[in-house]
Order: sequence, then C-alpha cells, then structure tokens
Amino acid sequence: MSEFFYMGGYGAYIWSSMAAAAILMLLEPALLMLKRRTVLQEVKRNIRLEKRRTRNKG
Amino acid sequence: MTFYSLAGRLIPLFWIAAIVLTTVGLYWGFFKTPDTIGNGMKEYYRIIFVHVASAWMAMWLYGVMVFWALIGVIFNTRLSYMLASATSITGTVMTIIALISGAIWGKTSWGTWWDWDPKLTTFLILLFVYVGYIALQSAIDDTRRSDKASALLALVGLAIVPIIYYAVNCPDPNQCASLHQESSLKRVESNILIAMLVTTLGFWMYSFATILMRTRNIILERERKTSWVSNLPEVKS
Repeated sequence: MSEFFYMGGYGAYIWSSMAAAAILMLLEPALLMLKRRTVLQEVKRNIRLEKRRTRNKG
Repeated sequence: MTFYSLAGRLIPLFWIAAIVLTTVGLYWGFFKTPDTIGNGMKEYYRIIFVHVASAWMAMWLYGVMVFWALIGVIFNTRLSYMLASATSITGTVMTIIALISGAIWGKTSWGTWWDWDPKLTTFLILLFVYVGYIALQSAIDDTRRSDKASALLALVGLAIVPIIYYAVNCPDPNQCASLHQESSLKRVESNILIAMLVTTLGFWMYSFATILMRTRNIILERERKTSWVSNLPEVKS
C-alpha cells in the first residue's frame, strides 16, 4: 500500500496535483450551494418585505 | 417545464455520472497502467489524468462559453447569456487545475515549474481571457450591458484557442521550440488512453453539473422579483 503512495519516488508530485484538482473541484460546488442558500434567503426576505408593504398600504 | 426545474432534475444525474466516471477513470489510471511509458516518463506521467482532462475541458468550455455568448448576441436571449456567464467560472477552474498540475508535472519532467514555452504561455493567456470576461461582467452593473460587453470580449478571445492548439501541435518544430510534448493520441498505450478519456468524461459531467447549478443561481438572482420565482416550492417553504 505504501508503495502505491510512494509511486517510485514521485508520490509527492502526483498526489499534490491530484489534491489540487480535488480541492478546487470540491470548493466550487460547495460555494455554489452556499450561494444558492443566500440567494433563496434574499428572495424570501424580499417577499416578506413586499407583503408587509402592501399590508401597510391597505 | 422551465429550464430552471429541468436543470434542477438534471444536476443530481450529472453529479452521479461525474463521480462514477472520474473514479473509474482514475482507478484505471492508477491500477491498470504501466509504471513507465516509452519516452522515459516514469510514474509521474500519471499526472496526465487530471492534467489532460482539465486542459481539454478548459479549452472546450471556452468554446461553449463563446457559443452561448454568440447566441445571446444574435437572438438577444437572456438565458444564453446566463449560460455563458455560468460557463466562464467552471472554465477558469479547469484552466487553473491544468496550470497547477502542468507546473507540477513540469517540475518532475523538465526540472522547472514554469517556462515561457508557447503552450504554457498561451494557456496562461487563456486564464487571463477567462478572468477578463468575469471581471468585465462584474464591473458593469446593468446586466444587459455587461452581458453584451463580456460576450464581445469572449468572441475576441476566441482567437487564443487555435493558437493553443498550434502551440502544442506545432507543424514545424524548428520554428516553434516547445518543451511541451505533442498531444498525439496514437502513440499512447491503450489503457492510459482509456483512463484519460474516462476521466475527461467525468470532468465534463462535473462541468455540466456546476454550470447548471450556477445558471440556476443566476436565474434566481436576476428573476427574484418575478411571480414564478416567488411561487417556487423552495421559496415558499
């Protein structure tokens, strides 16, 4: 197993490039999910404010 | 069905495909391939599986982005501008992965992280074009104007894609001295080729998933005042 990670002495290079790709490709969807949450919250808040405004007018 | 809900249904499918294909591709690349390949490359050549997959996607997504930008300019459809803008960020991520993995590969194989070789330089320019597109898009507040302006930038930047292609597949090696090897698929061992292609497919599915997620976010942001958005189940709950 350790031989597998050693990769003939090139393990550090191979695994760091794999890790760089993995980090970026996990970060991107994580940020997208976070963004979706904040946008949905914003939309809900706007709707609440709008309702309050129309109620006050009436 | 609206694009928004269709995309919502497709995203999990693209995620499953991306995870399965990338896992299979990398498994194949690490367990079914020889430790050394013909031209003196040792184990480190295995960086190829993320490097080539991300580099191909970086260039392909640029084409996709220009396609949607062009459709937007011609037909003035808002959704295509949103798709173009959503594609730009995934394309940037792919370009960065290609550059990082390429630098690490370069360090092992050429002994240097970076060289101003035609392939590397043109790929760096591709990154700048992507970043320029994103910067221009976010610099203009009026979305209709920012969509058009950045679409034009994307079209002009399209010139870089054939230059990258010829930088690596140089017709006359005496005229363009290049460290970067030619991307000849014919000489590659078939197991390596399989692993490379499957990983690339996995990255492609990943791109579909993230681009659709981002497009949905953009739609929500831009259409937040419309009644269909306020009637969405995720908004009402």
